[in-house]
Amino acid sequence: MKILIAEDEEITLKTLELRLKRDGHEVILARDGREALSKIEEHSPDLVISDIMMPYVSGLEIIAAIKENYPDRKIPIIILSGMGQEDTVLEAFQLGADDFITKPFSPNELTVRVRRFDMMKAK
Amino acid sequence: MSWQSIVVDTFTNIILVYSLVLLSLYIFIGLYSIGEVRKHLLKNSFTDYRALASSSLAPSISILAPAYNEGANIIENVRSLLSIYYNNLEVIIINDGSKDDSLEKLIKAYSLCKTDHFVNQQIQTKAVRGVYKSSKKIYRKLIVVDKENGGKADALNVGINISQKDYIVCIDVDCILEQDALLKLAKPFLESTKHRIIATGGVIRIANGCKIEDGRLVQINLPNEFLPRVQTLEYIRAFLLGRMAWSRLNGLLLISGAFGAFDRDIVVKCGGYNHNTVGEDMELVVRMRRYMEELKLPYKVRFIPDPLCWTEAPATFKILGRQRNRWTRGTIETLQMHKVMFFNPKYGLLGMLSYPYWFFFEFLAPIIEFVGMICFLLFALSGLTNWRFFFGLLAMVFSFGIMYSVFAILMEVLTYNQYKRKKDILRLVLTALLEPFLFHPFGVWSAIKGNIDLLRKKNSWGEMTRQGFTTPKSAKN
Amino acid sequence: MIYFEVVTLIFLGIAFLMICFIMINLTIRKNRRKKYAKSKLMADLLIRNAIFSEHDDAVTDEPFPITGRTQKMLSNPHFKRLLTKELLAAKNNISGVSALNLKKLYIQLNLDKDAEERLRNCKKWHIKAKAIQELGVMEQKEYLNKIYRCTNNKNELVRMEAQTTIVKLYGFEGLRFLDIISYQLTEWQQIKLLKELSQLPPENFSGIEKWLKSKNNSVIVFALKLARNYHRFELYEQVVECLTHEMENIRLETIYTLEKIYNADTANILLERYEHETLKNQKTIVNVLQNIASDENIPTLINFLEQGDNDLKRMIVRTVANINPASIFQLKELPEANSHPLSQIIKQIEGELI
Repeated sequence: MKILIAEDEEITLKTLELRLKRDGHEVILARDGREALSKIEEHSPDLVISDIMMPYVSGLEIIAAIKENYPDRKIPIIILSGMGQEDTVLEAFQLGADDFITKPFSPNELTVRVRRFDMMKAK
Repeated sequence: MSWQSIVVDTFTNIILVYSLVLLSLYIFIGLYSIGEVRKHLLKNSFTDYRALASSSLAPSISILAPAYNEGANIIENVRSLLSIYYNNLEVIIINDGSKDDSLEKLIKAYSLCKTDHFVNQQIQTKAVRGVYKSSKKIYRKLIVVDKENGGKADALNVGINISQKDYIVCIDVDCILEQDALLKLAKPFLESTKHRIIATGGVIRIANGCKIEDGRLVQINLPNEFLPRVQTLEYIRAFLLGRMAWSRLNGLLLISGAFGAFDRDIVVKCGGYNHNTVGEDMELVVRMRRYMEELKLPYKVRFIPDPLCWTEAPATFKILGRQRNRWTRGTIETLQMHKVMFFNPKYGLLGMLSYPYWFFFEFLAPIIEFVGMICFLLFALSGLTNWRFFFGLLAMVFSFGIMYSVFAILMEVLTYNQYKRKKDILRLVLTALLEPFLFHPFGVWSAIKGNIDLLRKKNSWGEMTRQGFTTPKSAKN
Repeated sequence: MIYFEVVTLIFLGIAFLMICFIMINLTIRKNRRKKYAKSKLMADLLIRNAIFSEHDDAVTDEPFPITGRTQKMLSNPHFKRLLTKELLAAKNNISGVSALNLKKLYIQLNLDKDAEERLRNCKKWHIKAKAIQELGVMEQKEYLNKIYRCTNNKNELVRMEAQTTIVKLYGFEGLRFLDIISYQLTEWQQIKLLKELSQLPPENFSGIEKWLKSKNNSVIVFALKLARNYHRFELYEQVVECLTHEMENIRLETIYTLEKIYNADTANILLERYEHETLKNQKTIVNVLQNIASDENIPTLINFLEQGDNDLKRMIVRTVANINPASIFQLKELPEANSHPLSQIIKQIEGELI
């Protein structure tokens, strides 16, 4: 599966990259929201994992942009954020996020969740 | 001894004492700011500002951005304001009767609809023509107000009337905000248990020469042109040293109109921005402080040394001259309106130190310099004093200016170090060396012209309205 | 007049010295940046190996292999500081087995001993506070006593970090520092503490009752927030008592808390309190009533419209309309409903209801 990771924190980004590559996915990295949007257009990934608070464009805007730009192609979005407050989670889901993982996150758990989307795609 | 030499001697002594007091004050300000900046930086390393962004306990904020004929960039500018992630936020754009298509563009880009909105006229303003909100959920924080043209102060007052949050953040719509700028501005309101924080402000930097994409700062560069570069130096000096020291004393009189946060309750009680002055940003802070002093309530105005906001500086002598002229008039008008505080112990530090400092060393400085220079020239020409004295004093004051600028550069390098290349720092130092000769006289002349303009027709605010308010705000110290 | 020349030279001399200092500083920094990049790669590698050690699902017993070169680097304090920083950043973002491995690496490298040393011997507040923070992130519980003692430290940052760390390590039980602190908790610190607590599974901790009666006003405010966040209905009576506290902001927080633990009586209690309150608190009461009042309170609320503040009027209309949308018609029949400002207010609220 082709996965785009949008995350401005280096260590988390690297950890995710290594992990997902080892799980056999193709990984595209974006270090801010703007880069993420242009790379989504360029590579059209099968899954997007995004932080919320990033420079230029927030993760919530990325969800909205994906929903608006690709209404017929379903690109699942996993939000990965340190802000696990109810409000934020609700807002993310309302905008169309498919999953929400709070930081600190367990890489093992992430693998399992990503696999679920992989299986859904296979169907 | 002839009467001439008595006059010359007295005059010389007055100028000499004035210069020495001024230099000592600057030395005090420079040294006094160090501790405060250091403390702030250390504290910063513990702060996760993002905890604030999503907390329901964070102060509720309305961003007020007045726009006059900003059609060219308004969509991107509003976009970057909307991309600020902060839970309890509303963004109010006030279209101050623009003659261009700003409003139409906004309506189209953000799917705005006119709504019935009751505008609470707590502050008298020009008429509101309509209040617009977006039909899209992602833009639910946006409110666009269309009103009749009335100038910046009036536009901000409309924003204050519309706002339903506890704090207002006033911003020039073309300003470029740093990531987390809003969070940094909001945090001081939560940090004091003894004082009410009535206003906060942060450092404004010059954006000329920087790379900007989609309304966001991508790369920081030192401006290539001389005028913006000199202003870069000026801003570093004023913000990093001056404002920091005054904030530490709790005597700060000015929060830049380009980006500042205020306690809305106090602003409303004070009557909002005053549209009878061209220095509405300074006047508001002075009036708020005066209000708190008169009620004897413990309060503070806080200033943060972090660079928060980048703005385009005037690059021609003509526009810059007009800006400085306006700053001068704003200062004088503000001082005039609040002259009751002059050395008035009832107003504490505000009356005994802040106000007199502004009176003697901001308002009077250019006048004394100008008059002094002319008199000394005349004295020297007529042989009443010697050239050596004249040039000696001049050299001392100028060399002090250079030293002070270099000190400011040093502080900048040791703290935020925005310009990483050695070449840029050297260019900044060179600018500091040239400033007294190539820029300073112009600044003094603009201030003198401001004084003359004010004397001539008291008030030129009608012209202000037509001009709009695209020029960056005061960085004076 | 010779003075001028001497002073001028002194000023220029100082300026020159400062310029030299700036240049040296920049050069040193540039070199350090180069070295830093190399060190960073090394630190990252070490951390990555810990996160992705062979066994994903269990912590290994064997120590992590450390090359001779890394071992040598570890005696360099700069490298150590950098590694610690990176470890903390990773630990803050990652949980599960990988996080346990990070902890293991931290202890294996004796970094906890370093932190303790700094905590014990350093006089500088920021170093002390950093050490506390570090031990907290790395979950080093054995330093509890030393950290606990700092929760009432005279330096603001030290006590803030100590309090946050205690809560991080001991959860709700750690809140017992609220019994002893004499300094006020800032709003900011309360946000930090609540954020820390929000990451723990809720439990039925004790103490709020005592804190509601604290001599430290900020502790009362914090206790009210705790009662609110954790829906402690059983504390209702004690919370209601705070409604008559002399501090305006304690009463304000009490109103907010009652909104979250209300019962059939609460709306009436707040309405009785209304006329004794400040304008700010009146507004809060009206806002809160949106969620907890019922039809029978509507007449009282409509009576409140006879006062001057338009913001408050708008809030009252909004509350009434939210309790029962049909009551808009009742409002429209009021004699003042056709004139400014009430007519516009009603229009706005009607728009909001759609």
